[in-house]
Amino acid sequence: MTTSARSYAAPLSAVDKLETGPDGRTTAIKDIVATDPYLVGHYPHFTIYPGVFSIETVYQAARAALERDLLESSPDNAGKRVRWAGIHSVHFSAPLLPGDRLTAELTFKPSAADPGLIRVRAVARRADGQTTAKISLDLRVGGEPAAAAETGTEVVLEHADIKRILPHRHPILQVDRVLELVPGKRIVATKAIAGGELCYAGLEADADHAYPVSLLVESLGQAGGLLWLYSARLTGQPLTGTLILGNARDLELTGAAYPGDVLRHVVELDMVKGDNAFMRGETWVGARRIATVGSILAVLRPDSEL
Amino acid sequence: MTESVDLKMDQDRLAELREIAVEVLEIEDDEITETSLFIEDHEADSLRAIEILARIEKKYKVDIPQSELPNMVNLRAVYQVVARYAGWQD
Repeated sequence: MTTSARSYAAPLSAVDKLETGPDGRTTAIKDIVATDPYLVGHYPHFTIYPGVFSIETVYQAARAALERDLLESSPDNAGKRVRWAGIHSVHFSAPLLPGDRLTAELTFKPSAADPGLIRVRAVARRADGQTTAKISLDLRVGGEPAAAAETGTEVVLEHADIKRILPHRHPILQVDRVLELVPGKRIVATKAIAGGELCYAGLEADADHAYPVSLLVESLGQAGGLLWLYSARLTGQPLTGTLILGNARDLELTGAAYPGDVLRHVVELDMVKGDNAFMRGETWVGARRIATVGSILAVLRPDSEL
Repeated sequence: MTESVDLKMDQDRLAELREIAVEVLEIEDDEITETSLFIEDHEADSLRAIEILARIEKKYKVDIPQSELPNMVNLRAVYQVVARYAGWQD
């Protein structure tokens, strides 16, 4: 598969090769290279393939396979697109570093109640056989989301302040500003989406310009990480280690964001257990809620364990 | 009286713990037994273990140190650890 001309916004070409076996099993391969877009900022001191990009790999592979099947079943389906419905669960068990090869095995199962809704289950492995992630996504054939306006509020942390807390750097630093922060409890943070971002490079006018869900989840996760790390710092016991997305459950997508929109994440810290933080959150664009996450687990791990 | 520990387990609480484990481990209800091992039999890792611990703490409003994680190898062991910290012995 070549991914030169995409019909939708994406942070990177997350699939190098896509194979479909006679049993319908789809395999996606992605070689992790440090020079891929966004990786330079994740992290400057230690490059790790962001967990959300494993989601992106599965999504791109599933979308390509489903759209190809659609087209093969009838030429009338040429304009039909596959879109995000949600993330049932993702669980990361080992990191992917430059030089690693990610191989994801995908299976597809239409919902019994709603055949347009497809549950995609994937197991991602490294070349050494180690499972790196189990990912379960819901995609919809057809369907379309929209956008809305924004309000101003008091600023608590500006972008430069955020860089003093989060290790992420351009271009993967996905939080612009913090509007509200109640230590240990809650954060409201924004991220403005611009047409000039890397994920829109090379997109033509007829492409889907919805902001990539992988980056949306990354952005929400970073807002949560910011809340956690900032709160820990206030207690005088700053945490150390590299910030990793451990898992996410029950992400429901009810809309999409486009260039010009401002994402507003509201994340609550459920529980902190040592170097592990459990959070839940919502993402809003103006008065519309576009995503709800039931649970996100962020963890700090020493580089030596990665 | 020589009642063994497992006979003393409150079946409602055991069912609640089972529900948490099944959800976190993403397995079917009939795959897990009181003695099936989370790591060896159900592919659990440290993140799933910490998630089980966190859900238990939240549900029973109890604080269990992370140092107990290595002891929480299966449902029965989890029950015993939680019972100790939540005072279920009576």
